[in-house]
Amino acid sequence: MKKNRLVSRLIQMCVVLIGISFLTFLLTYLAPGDPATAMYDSLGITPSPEMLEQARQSMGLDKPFLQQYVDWIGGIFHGDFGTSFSKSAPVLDLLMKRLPATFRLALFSLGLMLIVSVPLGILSAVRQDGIADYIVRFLSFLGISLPGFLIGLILLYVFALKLGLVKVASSSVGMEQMLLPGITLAIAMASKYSRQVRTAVLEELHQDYVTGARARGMNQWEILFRQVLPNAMLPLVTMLGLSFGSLLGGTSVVEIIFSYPGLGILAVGAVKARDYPLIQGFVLWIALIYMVVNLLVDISYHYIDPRTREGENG
Amino acid sequence: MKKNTRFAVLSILVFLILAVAFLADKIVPYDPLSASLSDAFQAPGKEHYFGTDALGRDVFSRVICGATTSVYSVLILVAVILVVGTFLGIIAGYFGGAADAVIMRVGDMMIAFPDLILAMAIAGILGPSLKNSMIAIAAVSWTRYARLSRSLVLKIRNRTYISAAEISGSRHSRILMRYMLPNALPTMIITAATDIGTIMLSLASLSFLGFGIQPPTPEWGYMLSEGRTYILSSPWLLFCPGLAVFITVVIFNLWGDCIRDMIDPNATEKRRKKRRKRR
Amino acid sequence: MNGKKLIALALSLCLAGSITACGGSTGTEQKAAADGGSAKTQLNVATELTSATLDPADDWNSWFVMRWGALETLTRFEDDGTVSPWLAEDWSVADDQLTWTIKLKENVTFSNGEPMTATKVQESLERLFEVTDPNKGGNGNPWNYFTYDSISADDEAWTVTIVTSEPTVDLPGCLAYPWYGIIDVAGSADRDIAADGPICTGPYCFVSNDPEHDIQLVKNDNYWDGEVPFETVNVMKLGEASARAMALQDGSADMGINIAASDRAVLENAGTYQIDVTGGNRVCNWFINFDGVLGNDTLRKAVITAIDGQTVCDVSTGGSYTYTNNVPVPGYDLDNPYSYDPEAAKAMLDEAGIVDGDGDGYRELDGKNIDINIVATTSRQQDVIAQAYGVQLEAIGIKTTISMPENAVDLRVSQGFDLMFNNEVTTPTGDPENFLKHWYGKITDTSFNYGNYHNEEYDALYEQLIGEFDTEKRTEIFTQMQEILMEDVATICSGAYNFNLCSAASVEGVHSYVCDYYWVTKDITPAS
Repeated sequence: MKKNRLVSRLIQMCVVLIGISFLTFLLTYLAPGDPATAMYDSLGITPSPEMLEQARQSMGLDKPFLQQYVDWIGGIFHGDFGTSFSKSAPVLDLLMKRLPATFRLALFSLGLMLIVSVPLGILSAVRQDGIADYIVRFLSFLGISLPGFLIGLILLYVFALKLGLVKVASSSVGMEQMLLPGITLAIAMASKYSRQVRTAVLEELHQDYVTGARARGMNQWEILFRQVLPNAMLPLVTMLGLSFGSLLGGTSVVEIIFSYPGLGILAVGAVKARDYPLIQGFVLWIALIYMVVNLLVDISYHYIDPRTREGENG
Repeated sequence: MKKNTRFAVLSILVFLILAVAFLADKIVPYDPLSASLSDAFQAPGKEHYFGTDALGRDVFSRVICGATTSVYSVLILVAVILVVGTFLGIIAGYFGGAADAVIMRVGDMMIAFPDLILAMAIAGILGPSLKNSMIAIAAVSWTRYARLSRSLVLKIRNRTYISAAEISGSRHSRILMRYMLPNALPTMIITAATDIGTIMLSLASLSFLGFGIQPPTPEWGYMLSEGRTYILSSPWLLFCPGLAVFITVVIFNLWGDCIRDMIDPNATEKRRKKRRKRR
Repeated sequence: MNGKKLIALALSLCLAGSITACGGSTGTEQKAAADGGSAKTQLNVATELTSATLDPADDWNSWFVMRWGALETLTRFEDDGTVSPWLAEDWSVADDQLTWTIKLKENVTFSNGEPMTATKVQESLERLFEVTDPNKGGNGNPWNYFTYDSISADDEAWTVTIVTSEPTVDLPGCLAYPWYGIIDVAGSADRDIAADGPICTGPYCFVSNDPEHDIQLVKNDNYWDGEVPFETVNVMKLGEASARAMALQDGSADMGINIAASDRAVLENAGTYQIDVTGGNRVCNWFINFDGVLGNDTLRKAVITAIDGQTVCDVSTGGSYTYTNNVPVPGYDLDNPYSYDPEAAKAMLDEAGIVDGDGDGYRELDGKNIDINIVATTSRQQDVIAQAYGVQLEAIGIKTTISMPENAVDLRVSQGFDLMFNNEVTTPTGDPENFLKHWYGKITDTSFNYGNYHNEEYDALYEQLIGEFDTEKRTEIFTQMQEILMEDVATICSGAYNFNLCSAASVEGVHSYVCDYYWVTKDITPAS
């Protein structure tokens, strides 16, 4: 990626981030209900009108909207994302504490997904319209058609309770605890990816160079692994970036079902408690990670795929 | 021929789902809202095919009537996303410049939001209801459509016949309607058709988390959410609506795929090549 | 070149694997501790509720400091509602009805080995009142129970003397409330009390508190009241009701808190689980907005007559609630003037001219369609109760709308409801005075009488309570007050919540107290 292009990407990112922060702030500002009341409610206090007035002042709610927004942004530049009132802790601390678990779960489920979907997708493409192809496509249909929470509950019931392969609950956050949530997330993704892999491999198989290689008498598997796969896998990298980004924020349902202590549980709790500082901080933080991940993907894509470099010059 | 048969069968199934959704309250054996409190938690049997729930309501009737809410809300939602997304994408692609920058940057913003979280935030802020959860999902989903239709417009934007139309003094609205929309529409409709299932699951997820429809209206996502407490004691409360969601989503997914294969067998391949070339 | 791409792909896979593997290490260690040896050394608890902080002064968070076995109070509630000594040995009140002398047990030590002297108790109580001082922005909650002119300590005699500002009849009961739990203020000075927990006197001490995931405690080696049965306590937050039941079934948890009624039946059938259900003093009741459509007397009375409270409790909630015959405070045996009779309800409405004039199936009041807005949450099956009420009112031709918004509290304050859920412990200090204040019409704090109910007779009775020390007399006043509430249908009482603690065969001594402050106690031991 050329330098000026990188710079323009970074500028774009900043614009989008500012937009997101503004939008989140606006949304919470427009929300019906009073954050001060919500705060007292989460503390279990029935406030008097004077107490509410005081709280509004100390929360800066009496200031004009733009002023509030600027104050908030100013705080963020000093590393201050505000204080969650439902958890009585700094927002940044809460996010940082939950991030590793979600990060691990996201990577784990992506890994699982790749292990399953890549071979199945290849098999499905190589044996196009064969029995294996039909089975794989059928399974992938099942996978994308079941709600994640249903898969989760069924897995919990079958693998933890009936088969006793993993514990239903544990205070640790290790492999065993990631297994079921990881599988749940992986099932839906694997269904999507195996179809994607299948299409990509099929596409490559119909390319001229494959016909040529066959004509030269090259072994079919050699063609597949040396020529076809590396090219077919490239589009997956972009998809992986997107998936990783949405996994970081979008695993709430699974986290709730498996009591997995990630960002998702925190986010649902924040929305339910109308913990505005936490919601705002969370959205901004996730958006930032998401964009950084996708930028990295784009950069790495550029390095692995020579064609994009050529395209840029031409 | 084979493809056509498949399409015909799937279309009949889709039609059946729509018919059930449309006629739900005429064909159910019981009123889905009327409860007989003392008949709660009856296992599936002759009298109640899918058993009864905590309030003694007939689960079969609720699942059938849930189709009305679930299927129609999804179809409306997909239609809205399709129209709004396509329209904005075409505007952005055709006019370029400031319009393009604004629409696409807003789109970037929406896509950088984790979709379920934004939807939760919107639903949490506007208050939980079916309408608000639909707004939430629409807010995060239109960008994909906008990007796609924009790219389709850009593809023909500089063709000579467009320039010719512009030079000959055709109005923008005419060019948009005459050339841009027809160019983009088939791909957009295919995308929408294949998306129905996914969006149905998103809506169900929001209901599941309590950000969607409010009881007692029967809706599959909320029924699943209510039913999960009873997985050990009355599993039919979870599995019956679960099965309904599953079957419906499978049928819509298959149907969407089938449409895509029929209209444009190589749609995905072509698109990918185009994208790669642009880079 | 192609190989390079494959390597990159493989590398990213390895990365995913290695990062996930790193996470595993802490897990296995703890698991080894849990399973290690034949003797059971860790108590595993599955819970729905946790607290954000461990500061006993921080409102209901204090309950959990006590529930997990760390905090103890001077007095405690027995299941029959009486107050008995705990860290205190005895107490007495002088004739002025203000001066209370509390004699402490002499053998109590904090977990850091410090003896619990009278001065320590004084410091602990003073800290509570200081950090909750409403004039300094504190929550003021302990101030609502009693305020004092002075607290003094006599370390020689092991007595603490509290002079209350006003006669406080139930002071011993107040002191049993977890806020007033005794902590070593000086000893906790270098701790972040909210995050790490204070130094207390209970059998277990906090190691960590992660409210969304787990709470870890270890044995208090200096425990004053006998040997502590477990080395460690591991409390796991399991928000899903069914997950808690499954955790008990697969052995991940020895003790489950608040198992759903439907799952209790499953456990009961399995046979090996101990299920301890207690009809506590927590009720589900519904505030009625008297400024709304339910301000109409006939309509309100018809509503209560149309509701089959007994079936709602026994069947719809699966026995999670015990019907109290619409009596607000459980334990009072009063006649309900409006027993369930849907036909009578219809007749009442017809007679009052509240009929369906426009033929849409629903009745109107003064030409306007009645639509009763029921605000609920999914907590403690209130959504089920709300829906059950909805169908029963539907049956007599009254339309209802149920909403479960996140901002329910705003609706409560702004009276944006007709029926608003409430789930409250009626006798937190052994006395329902505070609960019955919800209907006190002259209340200065307008945000407490949510329904804006007014009845002069009721207000007069409430005022009699102040300074009334005679328990029998108070009980009589409480009875009369509730009779007024029931006659006026000032609130709809769904029933008393049946709190439960379930335990597997691996432990014994789990008891669900009427007063649900006591969950993990020293009496819970490994099964013999």
